[in-house]
Amino acid sequence: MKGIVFTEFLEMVEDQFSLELADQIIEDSKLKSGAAYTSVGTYDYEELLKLVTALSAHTDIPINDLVRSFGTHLLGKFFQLYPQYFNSTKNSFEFLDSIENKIHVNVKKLYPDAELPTFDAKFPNSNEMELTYQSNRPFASLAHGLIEGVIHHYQEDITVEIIPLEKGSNTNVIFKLRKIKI
Amino acid sequence: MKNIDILHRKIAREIAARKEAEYLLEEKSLELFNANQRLSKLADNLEIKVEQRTEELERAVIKAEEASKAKSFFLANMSHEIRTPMNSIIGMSHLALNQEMNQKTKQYVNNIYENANNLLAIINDILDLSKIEAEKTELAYSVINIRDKIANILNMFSIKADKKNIQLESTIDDAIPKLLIGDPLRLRQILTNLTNNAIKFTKTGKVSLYLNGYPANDEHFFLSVKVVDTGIGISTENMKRLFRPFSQADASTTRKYGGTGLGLTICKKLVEMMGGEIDVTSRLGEGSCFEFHVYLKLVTDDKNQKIESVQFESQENALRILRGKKVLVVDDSEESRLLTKELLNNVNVESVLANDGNQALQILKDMSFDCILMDCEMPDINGYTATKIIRQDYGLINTPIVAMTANAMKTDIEDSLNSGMNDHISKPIDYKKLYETLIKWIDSENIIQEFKIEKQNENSDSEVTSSKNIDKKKLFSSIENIVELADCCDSECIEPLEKLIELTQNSIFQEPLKNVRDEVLNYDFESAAKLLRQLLRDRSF
Repeated sequence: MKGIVFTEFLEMVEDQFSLELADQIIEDSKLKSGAAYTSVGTYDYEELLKLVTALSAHTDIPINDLVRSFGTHLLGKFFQLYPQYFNSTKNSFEFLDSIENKIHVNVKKLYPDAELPTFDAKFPNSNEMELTYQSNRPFASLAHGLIEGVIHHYQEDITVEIIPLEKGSNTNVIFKLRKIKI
Repeated sequence: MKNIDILHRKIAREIAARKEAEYLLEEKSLELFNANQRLSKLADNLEIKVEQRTEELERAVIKAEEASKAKSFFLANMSHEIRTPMNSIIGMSHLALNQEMNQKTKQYVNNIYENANNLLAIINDILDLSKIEAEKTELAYSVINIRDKIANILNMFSIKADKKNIQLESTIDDAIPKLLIGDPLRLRQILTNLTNNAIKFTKTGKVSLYLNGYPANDEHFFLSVKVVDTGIGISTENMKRLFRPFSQADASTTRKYGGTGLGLTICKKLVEMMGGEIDVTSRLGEGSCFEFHVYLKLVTDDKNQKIESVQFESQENALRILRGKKVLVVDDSEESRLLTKELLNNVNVESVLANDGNQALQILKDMSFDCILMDCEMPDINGYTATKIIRQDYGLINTPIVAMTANAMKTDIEDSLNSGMNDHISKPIDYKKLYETLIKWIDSENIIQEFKIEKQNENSDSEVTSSKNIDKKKLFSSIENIVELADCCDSECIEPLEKLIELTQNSIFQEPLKNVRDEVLNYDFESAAKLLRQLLRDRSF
């Protein structure tokens, strides 16, 4: 998993909770990397799971909720770092549709060894979008948060329903997006 | 204390992270450097490759150009080498045709003669095109009478068109001046080719020539010609390929109609040489329209125009002289008789036909004629014997008798003159020649003129006759005819040439004509034609 996810996560913990808590969960997690993360590095995703689990234990917030709100936070960061991807599309549907064929293609160019999830987009009608998430890692909640971040960015009224393809799966899910008519 | 510990740990983590980042940066830089290195190497290779390829291409182009030149050279030489024996084949079979032989043999020889002529036409086309492509062809300018040209061409094709029951007509706009300046032979070549094609590909209906135009500026006239037929037509697809060398509309056309598929390519090149364009519109099954335009020079010198118009008028007048005259045609070949009759018909000359010498003598007992056209080789009483009887026994001394013979040998001409004939024309009959000869012998004034020249020649043997006494107009038209024959590498041009040399005895015309004869005798028709063209251009000689 790319280092930016780790550095952003720890930054968020420091900001939202405290420096102490961030230090605490690092100490609790007994990480191989020692949490000496750099955004351009690559680290084992298990470390993120350990950190989130530790945070959940200290805060009594469910893991999935934590990951999901981290996703929303991460999206904001992405917009700061890579505004060109957001400016070339006009709305959430267009942006989400471009992940697989545009954004991930460019990511692959920079990091040939990156293992990326796939986002298969379908449009049953003009008001609906079905985004199928498939990953080797259980981060559907992170994707959920990221999608909500996108909707927030474009300031649209869209509901997101998460349907696991297998019971309780966090690696293969469908996100059903519906525009709310006003 | 606890806070300080936390900070210490965080700093330690940050330092470790920084070190890793630096390491990663270093690694990426190295990767980038290597990638750049590879890229520049590739670029260098690419440049070398481009250079190599360019060089290879240049060499290929030079090779192709050389090959093309060699091809043109080879073609020109080959054509010449082929034409020399071809002339023998044509000449000999022509001569053989006039010998006594059974019907079957005659048919064989006739086949040889006709096919040899076809083959020669093909060779000429190929040579013509290779010359044009090698940019060796130059236009030879002289005065053209468009109406005259068209009349000639229609006349030439009238038999062919009649045979197929096709109407042949022309419409010439009054805006076209009587005389224009251009290359008459080349213009004729284009017109002949298009008209020939139109007749060839038309089964029923008509072939029409439309000519119009306007002065493009003070010096040039824009001449537009349309040749419209009601023939088989050409599909849109085939129209595109039509003007390309060796491509007829499709392969089946070649099988059915023959031809080399070079005619239109030559036409296109010639039209382009005259600053024009050629195009075709057609509908399958309905007919075709070939349209071209060329720029011809206007005759600006008023005086020149006057002189030429007078000459033109006089030629028309001359043909008018023939109107209503009566001519006896004696020939054992039916085809030949009918052809001659047709040609005479065209200038309103009445003709009576005789199958042989006997019949001719019978007819002459009751009728008188303005002229007798006599075939020399006939069964029973041949032309020479018949003439002797007419002159001696019948006492018809004043009726001109003109020999018609395929024999181009000088001895034959002498024989005919010795037997009492006045003149000689060669077969196959050239209508122009026929009319000229008839005018010469039927128009009494001309006879007197001829007599005068002869007398003068007798009186001043060593003196050079001034060019005044030779009918220049006639001389030039004869030369033009010979040029046409020489262009076709027709060895028959030797006969009129000899006659011309004879006629120009003791004049300044004779020497250059003798040079031409030498070239012809060497089978170098190209040089002969060139010399003759020079004579035509340099009219003041």
